[in-house]
Parts: sequence; C-alpha cells; structure tokens
Amino acid sequence: MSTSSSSSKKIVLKSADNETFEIDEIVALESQAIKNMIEDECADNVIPLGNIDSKTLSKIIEYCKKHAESPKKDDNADIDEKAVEDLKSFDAEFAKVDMPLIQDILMAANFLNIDNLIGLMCRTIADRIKGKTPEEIRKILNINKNDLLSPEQEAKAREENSWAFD
Amino acid sequence: MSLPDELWRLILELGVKTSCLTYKGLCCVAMTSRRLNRLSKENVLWSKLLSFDFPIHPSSSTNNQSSKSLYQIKFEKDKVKKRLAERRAVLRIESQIHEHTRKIHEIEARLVEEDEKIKSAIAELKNLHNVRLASTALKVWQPDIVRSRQRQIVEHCSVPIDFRINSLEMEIKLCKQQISGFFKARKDENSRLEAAKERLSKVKYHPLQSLEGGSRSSIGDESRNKRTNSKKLKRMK
Repeated sequence: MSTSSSSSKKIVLKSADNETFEIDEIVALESQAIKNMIEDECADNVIPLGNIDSKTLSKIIEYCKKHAESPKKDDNADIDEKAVEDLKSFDAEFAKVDMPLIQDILMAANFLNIDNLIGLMCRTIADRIKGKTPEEIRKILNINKNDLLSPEQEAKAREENSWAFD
Repeated sequence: MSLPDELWRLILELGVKTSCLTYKGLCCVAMTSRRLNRLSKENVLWSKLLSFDFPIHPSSSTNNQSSKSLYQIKFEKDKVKKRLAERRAVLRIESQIHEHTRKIHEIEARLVEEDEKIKSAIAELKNLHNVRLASTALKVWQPDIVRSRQRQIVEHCSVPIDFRINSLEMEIKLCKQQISGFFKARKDENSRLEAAKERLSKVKYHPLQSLEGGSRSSIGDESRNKRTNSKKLKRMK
C-alpha cells in the first residue's frame, strides 16, 4: 500500500451499466466507504459499484472532484471566504436537478458514505417540500401508489393534523 | 420512492433543523403517504420543534405522551391568542381598504366637480369671445340688422370683457392643474388599495381550505370560511 508516495494514483470506478470512470485517488477518498476499502487494502484497481448507474456516478464524481479541490476546513483555520462562497454556489448549482436524480444521488452517496453530499441532498429535498400542500408534496416526491394512504387512513390523517391549520 | 427510512428520517430532521419544515410542514408531510405519516410523527422531530417554538416551557411531562401531541396541546393554548391577533390584522387591513376606497370616491367626486367647473368656464369663455368679436365688429360699417344684433350682444354683457377673459383663462388653467393632481392622487390611492388587498389575501390564506376542497376556492368559499372563523371566535370567547 503506497498511498503516501502516489498523490496522483488513479482509481477506477465501474458503474452498474459497466461504464468505467478513472479518477484521482484523492477524489475517491471523499467517499468514506472507498477510503475504508483502500485503507483495508481490499480494493482492486477497479471498484465495481453495482447499484449506481453511470448518470448518477458521474454527478457524484463531479461533486467529489470539486470538494477534493477545495481547501478543507480543518486544513486551515482561516480559509479564505471566497473558497467557501465558491463551494456554496457550486453546491446550489449542483442540487438543481430533478427529484428522481436527487434521490438516486442520495442513495448512492449514502452507500458510498459521502457525508457532505448526503446532507446536501437531504436539505434539497426538505427545501423542495417546504411550504407545500400534501397534494403538492405527493407530486414532488412522486409517491409510490403502494405507499399512498387508503381513503380511511387519509381521512384519519386529516383529522389528526387539522389542528395545525385553523 | 425507494429511499430507506433512515434517509427519510435524516431529510425530516435536517428539514426541521434548517426550519424548512415547521409544525405545519410536518403535518402536511403526515398526510402524503403511509411511510411519511409514520416517520413524521417521531419524537425527535417534535421535541426539536417544541424547543424551537415553545422555548419558555420546558418539556415537563416525560410520560408516555408523544412529543407531537404535547406540541399540539401547547399549540392549541396559543391558538386563541393567535386567532385574535390574526383577526385583528384582518380587520386592520380591511379598514385600510375601506379608507382607501373612500378616498378614491372622494377624489372622483372632486374630479366631477372640477370637470363641471372647467366646462362652464369654457362655455363662458366662448361666449365672451363672441362678445369681443361683436364689439370689434361694431367699430366698422355693418348692415343695420347685423349691427343692432351685435349691439344687443355687447350691451347684454355687463362685465369688463378682457378682465373676465383673463380670469376665466386663469381658472381653466387652475382647473387643469387640479384635475391632473387628482388623477395622480387617484393613481397613488389605487396602488395603495391594491397593496392592501394583496396583504389581506396573504393574511387570510388557509391551507386547510385548499386541503378540504382540492382546487375549488371561489369567493363564496372564502366568505363562508370567514364566517365560520368568526363563529369559532365567538365560541371561544
């Protein structure tokens, strides 16, 4: 294992649809799960990610690249505010995708254990349902038919929650 | 929707933490699906909201009561106060609207007045111009029949013509100024009225109404809703 000697060591990620992505190891280390694999020396050159499709994976790599480039908070106590602002606006732009992709990214980020990205996606979802009616939320989240409340359950839910609206 | 419960918990927790989701938001979420109904009830969320919204009351009862129902109880206590405050806000804006409308009517009445004034001034001015023409014409030779008519016109007019014309022209000018002033005042007042109406519709917004009725939200519904609200108010008093 020679992580120290090779700062430009490459890692190859393979998506569920068999597309490969070669990235710098430093970028891959944004994922705690991959980091653990590398540290435990149980990673081959190619890491197969059987539950992440290439569209989602390329978004995740885009995110990890940007965040790997940016100075870390613990590197330097007073990192310049411009970098922080820059990262913030990157995150805001990054989150401007449709709900299915957000959920896919969230699932994948959860699997790969990328804390910042999990937080970003969760906040994005919360923000999208902010101030919306139940009908709107259902549409936004595209709730599965099997998960819908039965008419009786829905009547009960309305009854139980009506106090918040008078 | 394939996200596991743990991620939904995280979404709701972060939503509450960042104030994206309020008590109302969580109640809306509770009505969307079976899973979110279950997850949105969890104590972590509501105890957080309790500490946000009712910081002065420490969550005293640690018995088997859920945080959500505890929140509801505290909320209901506050509700009477909130309702009255809301009602006052509505009344205040409604009286503003009334006042703006009254002012607009007043301005319009004065516009009509001013319009009549200007019309009569113009008519008189026209008449005086005729007199002046007649008096100039008298100085030259005319057939008798014409001449006597002109003399009649001139004699009929008792005021000093030029002086009167001047003052009428002044008056018309003044009227025009007044009218344009009133137009501006009416425009300003109208925009204030529109602003007040918009504030009113914001204050009156009722999520439950749209929940119950789906897409129907006619004016009739709104007024009915208002009535039931005031009924409730009376009952509470």
